[in-house]
Amino acid sequence: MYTEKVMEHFRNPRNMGEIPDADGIGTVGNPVCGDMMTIYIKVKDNRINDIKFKTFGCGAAIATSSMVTELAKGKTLEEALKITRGDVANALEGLPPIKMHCSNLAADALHVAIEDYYKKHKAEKGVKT
Amino acid sequence: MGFGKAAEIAQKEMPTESERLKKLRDKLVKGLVDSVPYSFLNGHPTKRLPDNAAVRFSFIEGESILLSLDMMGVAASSGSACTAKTLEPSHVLLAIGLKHEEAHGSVLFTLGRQNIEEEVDYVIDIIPDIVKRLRKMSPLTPKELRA
Repeated sequence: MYTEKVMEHFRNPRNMGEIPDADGIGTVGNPVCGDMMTIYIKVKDNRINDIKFKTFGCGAAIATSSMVTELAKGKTLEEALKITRGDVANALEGLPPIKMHCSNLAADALHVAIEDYYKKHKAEKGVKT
Repeated sequence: MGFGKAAEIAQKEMPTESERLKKLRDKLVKGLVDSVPYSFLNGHPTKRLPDNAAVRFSFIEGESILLSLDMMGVAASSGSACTAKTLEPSHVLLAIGLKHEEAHGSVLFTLGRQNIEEEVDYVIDIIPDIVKRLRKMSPLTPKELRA
């Protein structure tokens, strides 16, 4: 059902964990649906310097979380915002059709984390000026 | 005919085979629930089929447990029906009063004629680490279980 690439990320997820002093945090999905994930980012010089994930969900949810952290790490925020659900699925050499919608949430979580960073960053700037 | 003969054998062996399976089932349920915190039996402890051990594990999702079990050579099925055509959790589990997220964390082990006690012991032996690994990944896991 899953590609070897998906299983490899399920077995050895990259960047799993939390960043306690994260610059941006994005949570999408909910436990009622069976998939929920949180992405933490650390930003330095407009780049994603560090990124970690926590995921409750099926194999696809865990593999897409792991993959999106690999795709986003080291990218500028603008580049990272352009990463789509499709990019994540392609990098995993495909997902079963039923998983494309429900479990492929990782790109959304990344985008929410970046928006969270922008919000906090603007607020900080506002205080300073 | 073949089918008639099979039914005849099944009928003859049913009382002893049911007893054998019940013992394995009860050992499996007790072993899982005792060795994993926040794990529970779904349904009635004794008024159930002799081969059916339906257990749920809080804070994690059924399909990821199945994949992990499969990697260790164990076949089970998931209350979340994640591999089926719908991702909805089992309507039976919802009907007996489980919340959606509880139903999603359910795994159904069914025992059969070929299963032996060593296999039950093996499952009890490997489940704690599988659950621990997935709970470490889950944002729903309470702090005291993450260590």
